[in-house]
Amino acid sequence: MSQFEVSNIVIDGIAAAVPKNTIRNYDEKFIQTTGVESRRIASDTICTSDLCYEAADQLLNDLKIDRNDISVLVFVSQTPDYFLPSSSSILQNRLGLSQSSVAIDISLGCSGYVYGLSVISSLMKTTQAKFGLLLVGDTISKIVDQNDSSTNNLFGDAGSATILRNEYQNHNSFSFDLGTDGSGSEIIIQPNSGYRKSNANSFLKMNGMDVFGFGISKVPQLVKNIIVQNNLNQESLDQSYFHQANLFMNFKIAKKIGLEDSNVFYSIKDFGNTSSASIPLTMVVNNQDTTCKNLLLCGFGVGLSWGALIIKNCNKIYFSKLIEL
Amino acid sequence: MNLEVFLTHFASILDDTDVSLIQADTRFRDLNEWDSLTALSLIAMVDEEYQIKLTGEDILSSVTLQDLFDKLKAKA
Repeated sequence: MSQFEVSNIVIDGIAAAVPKNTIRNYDEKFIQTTGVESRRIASDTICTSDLCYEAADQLLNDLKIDRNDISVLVFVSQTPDYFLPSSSSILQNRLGLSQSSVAIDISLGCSGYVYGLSVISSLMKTTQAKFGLLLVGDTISKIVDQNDSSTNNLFGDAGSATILRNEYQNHNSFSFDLGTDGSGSEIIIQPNSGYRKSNANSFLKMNGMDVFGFGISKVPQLVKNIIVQNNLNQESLDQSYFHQANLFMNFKIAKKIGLEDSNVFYSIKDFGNTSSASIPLTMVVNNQDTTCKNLLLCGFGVGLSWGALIIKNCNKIYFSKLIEL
Repeated sequence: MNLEVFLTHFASILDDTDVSLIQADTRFRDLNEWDSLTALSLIAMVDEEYQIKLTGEDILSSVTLQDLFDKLKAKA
């Protein structure tokens, strides 16, 4: 695993956007196990970048940030507008950001928010950017097989925007622990989606049993390690935000780590598994005061890829009101 | 590792199945209650009770509970 710190960066605010279109689940056993009662599904005309754009536009207006001061834009998604050009280029123009800004796409799913935070904070430090904009989201509903109830009823669509600020005074660090195991690359895969053609169809395929086994073994170990690395303990983590995989798995993970139930936050009931957007969406809908709190953010899944982040003694993060398109 | 204990643990993940049906030669995938969600409960139970990671392939390639138990023993 790769452990590192990025110092003197703060998250100023987070916004999230979801489609208005709400689909309810009716299979009681499925709801009981996965925790997904309803999901938001994007229409044919809404892409991930549209959800992220609306979230970013709202957040920039709410925080009254001059768009010329954003010089790093990172877009994390596995459902971009095109293979090429990158969606971050399109979003730079659409959001009216400066042409001197750095804009890149990252292809990651469930671990994407934590990875995105690590990349943008590192880039902001090396470029001395005043502000950075991290856009993270997915519209997985567009790639699920509607005859596969295990994925079709699980995933929801969402986009998010996070504004980070370079803080020049001594401020607490972001402490990351990231990892990858590509031997599990076929556990969650969209075959035939790129140039390595296979005979399989192009819908998302997920081996739920192996994802589950990975989640309940890898994640507790990852989180226990990062807690120790930061000289914390389970009781001193005030707020934990995990990727919303499925409720059964998330409960097992939280229990194995030994976290207080009341300090672990969820969004899966109303929004399903929203892939890369699940952590920022959970933060926005729970709208907790983060001032002086110790936060854990942890994503895990497709890749296989995982990442945990601890922010000690956090600043007050502003959360925009949830946007519905 | 004890087969009887494993069978008791297996029975504990089921809600509506008579315990007498849970034997070493039970073809577990034929149980009315068996579905993909029961499989997750099985993986969780094995992780909790034995600290062993059971894969989807382990489950799919097993027919009876004895087969599953043998796979666990091999991984212990």
